Amino acid sequence: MTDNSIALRVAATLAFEELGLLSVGSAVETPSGVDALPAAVSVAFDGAHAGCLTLRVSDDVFRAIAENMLGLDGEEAEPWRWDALGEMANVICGNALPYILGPSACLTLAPPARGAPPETRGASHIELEVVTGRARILLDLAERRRQ
Amino acid sequence: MIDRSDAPAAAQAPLTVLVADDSRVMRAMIIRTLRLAGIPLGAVHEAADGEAGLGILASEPVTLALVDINMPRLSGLDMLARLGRPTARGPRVIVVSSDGSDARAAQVMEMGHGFLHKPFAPEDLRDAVLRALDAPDHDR
Repeated sequence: MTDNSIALRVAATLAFEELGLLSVGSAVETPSGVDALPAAVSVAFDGAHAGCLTLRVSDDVFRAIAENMLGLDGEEAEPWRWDALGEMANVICGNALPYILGPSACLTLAPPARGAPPETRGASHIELEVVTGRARILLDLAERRRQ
Repeated sequence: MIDRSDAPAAAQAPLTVLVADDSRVMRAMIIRTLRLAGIPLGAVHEAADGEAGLGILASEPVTLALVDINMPRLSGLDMLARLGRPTARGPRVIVVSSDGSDARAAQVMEMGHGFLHKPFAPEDLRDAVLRALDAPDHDR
């Protein structure tokens, strides 16, 4: 596991457990296919570095996030599901980047967008067991900009 | 589980609250958490960007503002820069952000406001509100 993957794991565990009230298990060695993780959001960021973080989750995790964040059941949570997943990605991104880029790096995060950009070679990633489902986090970091 | 036994002495009167965050789920979560924490709430206003937040602060007697940093139109930091330092008559402000950089938190606290990092436990939000309400005024 690379340092970036460790940072993603720490940030994702914090976000899923504190924000989504979902317990996180071990990292998954064999990544799931896209079909198994149908809900995806991405958060672009800019500043000292530019890049994008993508969060993909299985359907049960997708449903559980909004329900747990707002204390809602089933259909009540339906209108909130994408916003809740977006907020989860936003929090993972905001927490992971200082570990990776240093605590003094100031970045601007764009609002979460539904869907995922094409995965590029060299991007950092981690896939985790989340309760009975899975979550995959992928960080595509651009080259450091000249100061 | 939230312990309500030490409900805020400093917050006995209902608070007029502004929650400024471009994420509607985070606004809903903050308001729900304030209620669960036993913070007495009066009118609760929501804004999805900094401009709308400033408009509400100019027209409503807001006593407590919870403000995100990354927002469209006007960021939380620009909003606070226009608001100025805390005063006896102005709202107490807590910046609630997922930005984990030390630099950002220091910047906010240098402006005289509170900072709460996302994700937060309900107790963290309650404690941040109590600290903000107990903080000395800067213009006295």
